[in-house]
Amino acid sequence: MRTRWLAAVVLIAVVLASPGAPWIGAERAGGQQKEFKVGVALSLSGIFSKDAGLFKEVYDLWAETVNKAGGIKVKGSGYPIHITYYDDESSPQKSAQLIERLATADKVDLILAGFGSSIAFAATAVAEKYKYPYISGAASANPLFKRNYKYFFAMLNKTFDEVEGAAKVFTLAQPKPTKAAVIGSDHLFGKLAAEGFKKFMGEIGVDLVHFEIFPLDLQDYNSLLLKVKRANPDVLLVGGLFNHALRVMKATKEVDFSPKGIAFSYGPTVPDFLKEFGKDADGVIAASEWLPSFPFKDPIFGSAAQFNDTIQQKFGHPADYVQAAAAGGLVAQQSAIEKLGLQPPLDEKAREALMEQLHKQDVATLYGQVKFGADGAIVQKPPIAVQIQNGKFAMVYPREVGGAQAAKLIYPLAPWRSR
Amino acid sequence: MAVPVELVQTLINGILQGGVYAAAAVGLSLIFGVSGILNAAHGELVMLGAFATYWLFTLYHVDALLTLPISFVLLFALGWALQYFLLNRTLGRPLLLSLLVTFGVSLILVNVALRLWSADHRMLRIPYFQRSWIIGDFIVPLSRVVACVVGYGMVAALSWLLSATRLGRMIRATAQDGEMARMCGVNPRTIYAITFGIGSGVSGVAGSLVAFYAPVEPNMGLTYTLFAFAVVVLGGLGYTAGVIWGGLALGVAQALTETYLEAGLSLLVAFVLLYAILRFMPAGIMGKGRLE
Repeated sequence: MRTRWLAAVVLIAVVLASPGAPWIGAERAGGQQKEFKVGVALSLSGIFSKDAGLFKEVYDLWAETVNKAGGIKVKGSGYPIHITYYDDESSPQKSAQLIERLATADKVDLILAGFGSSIAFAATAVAEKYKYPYISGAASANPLFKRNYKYFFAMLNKTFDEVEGAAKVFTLAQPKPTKAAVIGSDHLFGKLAAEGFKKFMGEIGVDLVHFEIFPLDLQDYNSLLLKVKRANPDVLLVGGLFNHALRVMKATKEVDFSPKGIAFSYGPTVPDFLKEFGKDADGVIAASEWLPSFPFKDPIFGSAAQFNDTIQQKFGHPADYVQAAAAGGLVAQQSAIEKLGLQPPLDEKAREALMEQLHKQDVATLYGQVKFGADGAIVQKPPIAVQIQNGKFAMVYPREVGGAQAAKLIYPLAPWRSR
Repeated sequence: MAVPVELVQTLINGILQGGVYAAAAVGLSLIFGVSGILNAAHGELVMLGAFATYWLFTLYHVDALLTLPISFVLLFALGWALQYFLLNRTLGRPLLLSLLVTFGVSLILVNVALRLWSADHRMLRIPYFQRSWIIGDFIVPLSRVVACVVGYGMVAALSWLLSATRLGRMIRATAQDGEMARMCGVNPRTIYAITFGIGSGVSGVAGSLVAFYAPVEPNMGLTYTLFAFAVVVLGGLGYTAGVIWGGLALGVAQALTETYLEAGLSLLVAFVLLYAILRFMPAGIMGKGRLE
């Protein structure tokens, strides 16, 4: 009796925790091949889960929109999309295993990207091996592009370039800052973003008075921020993800550290950031690559503004730029399939042709023109900086993108005590 | 002589963090000390306490401080049920079995939490905890002070309960010799369930304290399980009040590392400290822990 009880607990735990457990929401691929079988290994749990959840919204929206319109149109027939999700638990190793499973066991036609550079690092190695194009809306670490991979494509600028706008925006500040502190969380993107901030601060002639990489599970952010405060920088630049941005913001307030400017590589554009900090978030700068006000559009999601409205209606928050990037990647891939007339199932040869077409084409999307360079990086994408002004995101750098004009930078920020 | 501002501020930060560590570890220490169960789901109880406070505050607008006793009661009930219906079945079996079963429980709790509340990081905004006291050159965040004072206070209250009440005597008697306690009219299974309930309840309160200043999310538990193990070993295995010293040692060591070395080394320092204690002071900092 006792043993049965214990066995039951262990069994329940195994079922609940097994990757891709059906109850988590994964729909098994299968059935007749009258559809495009699409697979995703996504961080539905773990440290990237909040950020990866944004991708799931876009992938689901894509499938729903395309299926409603009769599926992907190939040679006069429409093929609906069926997406299979697996949870990589924010683990690069698990992501690689799941990509292998999607390629070999599920034999999907297309693989969509997971969230983040560290995940992409592992996943793309497997995608390359099985010849699946992997178009990421949120992988930008510079080393990803040095591997001569043919099947990896990135919608964001390389990390160094991605934070360029959020660093160089301080050239517009009056009075110009002279001292900066840079901190970054200890993972691929966070560290590279911090290195990028450091480099661009050097380029614009701002002295670096503090530079530090902090661990992902740091408990006491106050000690770290107090140390930064003692260095007395004019501006604080932070490399990291959403939860790091949350903790750093909260700690700056708790230790009464009021830099004249504060910029993040990522985090403030995640809708929950504004919800968490309300008016306190005003003046915060974030690296970005897209805004709903940009004059871009495509036949699937419509204009940038329409895409934003749809996300707002369906999910109750405005679209994040990584969502627009992911959507742009989906449009590019679908456009290549339709152009080549590839019917499912897609064999290795078809996927190779798809990869070549992705390298060749130049497609208009809600995210802007999507044209990939030889290393898979998107070309001609100006990195922008946005600032939260009166609870909304306003582009503050560069002065103009595709006809959209930048707003005036708010600088210096008021001290915490007078906000 | 001028006060070394940075050093004092660092010590303040360490002591404040230590209070939370002590609160988060005392339940683990109590349960291990009494029933010999190594609770691998400990961090998940902390997580559930944090969520209890988050939802009570957000959905029902219960004052943040008033959520603490509610969190205790909810987690007490869960802990009591876990021990009574499940873990009592592992009594008298090898330690590994209880570890395995509680590990299973932790997986269930994390995945149910993920299912119910998603993996979002949620942060409480408690108006009266937003500010810090600024005393001369020193900054003391209010939310941390409350977390620390309640944390240390809870450990002190638990120590008092164990040493000065009838229930405490029954718990200690059961911990020393279950058979003998039974012969004196104490039902060890009930005592184990009450002990696990109290341990879970205080862990829940620790989670509530964490929610005062840090984001809440279903995967936050593992970190607290690890730190709680470290604090319990530093304070002395089976010596409940030792977690105060263990928490202080860990909090201050990490704060000093973050200020004078770098934040990236804080985990390393924690485990070097753990190794040193196990190697040179196996009965904990105060020498009152169990040695076997």
